[in-house]
Amino acid sequence: MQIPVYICDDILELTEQYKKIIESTITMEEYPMTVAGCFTTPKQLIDAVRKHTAQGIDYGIYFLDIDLACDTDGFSLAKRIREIDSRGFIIFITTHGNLAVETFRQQIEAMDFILKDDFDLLRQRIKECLKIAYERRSAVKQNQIISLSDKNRQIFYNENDILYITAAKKPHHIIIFTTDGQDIFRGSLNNIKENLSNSFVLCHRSYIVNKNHIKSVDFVRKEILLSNRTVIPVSSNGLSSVSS
Amino acid sequence: MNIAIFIYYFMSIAYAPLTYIIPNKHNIPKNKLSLSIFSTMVVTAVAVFFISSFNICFTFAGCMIILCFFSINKMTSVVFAFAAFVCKIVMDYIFFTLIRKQFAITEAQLINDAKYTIPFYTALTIIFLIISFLLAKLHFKFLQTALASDKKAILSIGVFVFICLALFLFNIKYEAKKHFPDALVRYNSIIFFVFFSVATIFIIIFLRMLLQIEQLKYRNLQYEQLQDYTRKTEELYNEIRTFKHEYLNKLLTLHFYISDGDISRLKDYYESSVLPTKRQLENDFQAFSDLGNITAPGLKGLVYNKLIRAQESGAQVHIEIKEKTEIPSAEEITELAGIYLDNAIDEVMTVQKQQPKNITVAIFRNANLLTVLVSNTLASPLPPLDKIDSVGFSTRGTGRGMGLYIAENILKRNPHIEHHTYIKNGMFYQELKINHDGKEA
Repeated sequence: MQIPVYICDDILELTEQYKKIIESTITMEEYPMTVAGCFTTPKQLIDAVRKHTAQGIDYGIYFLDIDLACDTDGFSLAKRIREIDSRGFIIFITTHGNLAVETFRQQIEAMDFILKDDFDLLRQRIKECLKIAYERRSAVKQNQIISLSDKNRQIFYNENDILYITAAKKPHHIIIFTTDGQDIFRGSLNNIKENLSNSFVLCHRSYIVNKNHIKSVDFVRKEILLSNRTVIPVSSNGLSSVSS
Repeated sequence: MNIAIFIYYFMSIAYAPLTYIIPNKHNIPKNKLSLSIFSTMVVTAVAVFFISSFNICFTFAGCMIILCFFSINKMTSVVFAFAAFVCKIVMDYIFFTLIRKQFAITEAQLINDAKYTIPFYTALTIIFLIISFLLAKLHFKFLQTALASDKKAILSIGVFVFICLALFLFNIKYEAKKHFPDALVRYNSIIFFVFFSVATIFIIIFLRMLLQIEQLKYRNLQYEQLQDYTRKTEELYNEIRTFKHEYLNKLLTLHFYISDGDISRLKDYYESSVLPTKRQLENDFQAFSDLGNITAPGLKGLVYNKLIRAQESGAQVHIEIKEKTEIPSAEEITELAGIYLDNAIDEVMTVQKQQPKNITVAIFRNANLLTVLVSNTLASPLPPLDKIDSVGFSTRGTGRGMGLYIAENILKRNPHIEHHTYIKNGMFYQELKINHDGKEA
C-alpha cells in the first residue's frame, strides 16, 4: 500500500511547487508513496486524512506550513493529525520567525523543519525528509524501535542507531551511545538487554555492544573498535559471545 | 563493660554522621546508609576494646565516616560535625561534673558499677540523640540558605570553628595539667564557650549581610538588563515601521514596471531592491522577540543578556517561547539556566570559525509539564555524560568546571525539578522539566 503524502500551505502556488518536487523524488527513488493532495485549509486536510484512515491506511507523511492564515495554525493542525495518526511523519515548511524546532520536536514529534527562505536548499531538504521517512518506515516494519522512558520523558530509538550501552557512574543509570549522540537514563543493563534484539551482546560486565557496529576486535588487548572509532573494553567471556 | 556504654560510644561516633544524614536523607542511597552504620559499629567496637575515652578520637572517626560514604558537601558536613563535637564535649563535661557533685559518685563508680552505669549512660545517649537532631535541623535550615552555595563562606566559618575548638580544648587540657582549681577551669571554659559562640554567630550574620549586598547588586543588574531589553524592543518597533513604509514604496515601483510590461527592468529592480529586503526580515533582534512571553523578569533579563553577547561574538541565537509562560520555581530555574547558558556560550566559542555556532533556548508547556531547554553546538565529542557533572570537570582546562557541580547541588535541593542531559545530532542539550503546579512530578 502506498503512503499518502499531504501538503498544506495557505498559498496554493507554493503547495504546487512542493508537489512537483515531491513527485519527482518519488518517481526517481521509486518510493512507495503518492501525493494525496495539496490543501490550503486545515479542514480539507483533516477530512482527507480521515477518509484515508477509513480505507485502512494508518499513517502518512505531512508537509505543513505553520502560519495558515486561519484560526487553526500548523501547530494545532499537527496536534489534530497526531490524534488520528500517531505514527505519521510531520515536517514543517515555514519561515524563520515561526520556527519553534524544539517545541514541536518534543510536543508532536515533528520529524524536521524546512526553511522557506532558501529555495535551492528547500528542494534538497524535502528530498532528504522523504528518504528518512522511507528508511524509518522500514525500521518500524522490522520491529527495531525501542522506547525508553525516564520520569516525564520518552525517547524512541532505532536499534540500528545504537552503538553501545554502558552503566553510568551514577548508580542505576545507563548511557546509550548512538551514531548521533548519547543519552542518560534511569535503568539497568539487564533490563534493557531483554528488550533488545539478539544483535546486542553483553561484551563486558558494564557494556552492551551492537554487533552490527563492531569494526574489529583486538583479542590481545581485549578491546572492541566500533564503527565511529570509539574503543570499548571486552571481557574474556564477552570475547566468545562477540566472536560467535 | 555493658550495653549502655556501648550504645553511648556508638552514639558518640554516630552523632557527627547523623547531623549530616538527617538533612540529606532524601539523597542518600540505602546501601551507603547501611554501610556507614556498619562501619560505625566496627569503629565503636574497636574504640570500646581499647577504652580510650578521649573524645577527639570519636569525632574524628565520625568525620571520617561522613567523608568516606557521603563525599558530597564535604565542607558543610565537616563544619557541622565539629559543631556537634563542641556540643558533645561541653555536655560531657557539664554532665559528669553535675552528676559527680549532686550524687557524690566517683568517676570509677560511674564506669564500673552497673548500678550507676546504665541510667547514667542511657541518659547521656538520649541527650546526644537530641543534640544531634537539633544540629541536623540547623544543618538542614543552613542548606536552604544562600550561604550554603558559597564555598568561601563555609570555609571561613569552618576554619573559625576549628580554631575555636582547638583553643577551647587546649585551655582545658592546659589548666588541668597545671592543676588549676576546678572552679576556675569551669569558669574559663564557660567564658570561652560563650565567647566563641557569640563570635561565630556574628560572623554568620556578617556574611549574610555581605550576601544580601551581593543580591542587591544582582537585582540592579537584572533591572538594567530589562531596561536594555525594553530599549531594543522599541528600536525594533521603529525599524518595522520604517520597513513597512519602504515596502509599500517598493510594491508601487513593482506595479509600475509590471503595468509598463518592462520585464527586464522589473527583473533588475527585483534583484537589486526587493530581494535584499529578505535580510532585513531576518533581523538579528528578531531572535529575541519570543522573550516577551516569559513572565519572570529575572529569567527574561538573563537570557537576553547572555544571548545578546553570544550573538555579538558570532553565535546564531534561537529563542522559542511561543506562548505566554509562567515559570514555577523561577529563581532556581533562572540560576540553572544561567549556568547552562554560560557553558553553552563557552562551548560554542570554541567551535571552529566556519562551523555553525548555534545556541537555542526553548521554553514550552505540555499540559502541566513545563520544559526549559538550552542547547548548543558541540565543538568536539564529549566524554560520557556521567562525567560532566562532577567537580572540576571542564573542557576548558583546570580551575573551571564548578558550574555543573553547583547546578547539580541546586537540583538536589529541588527534587521537583527534573533534569536531563543528552547529545543529539552534534547538539548538546540541557533540559529541565517541572510540573506547572509546582508539585513533585
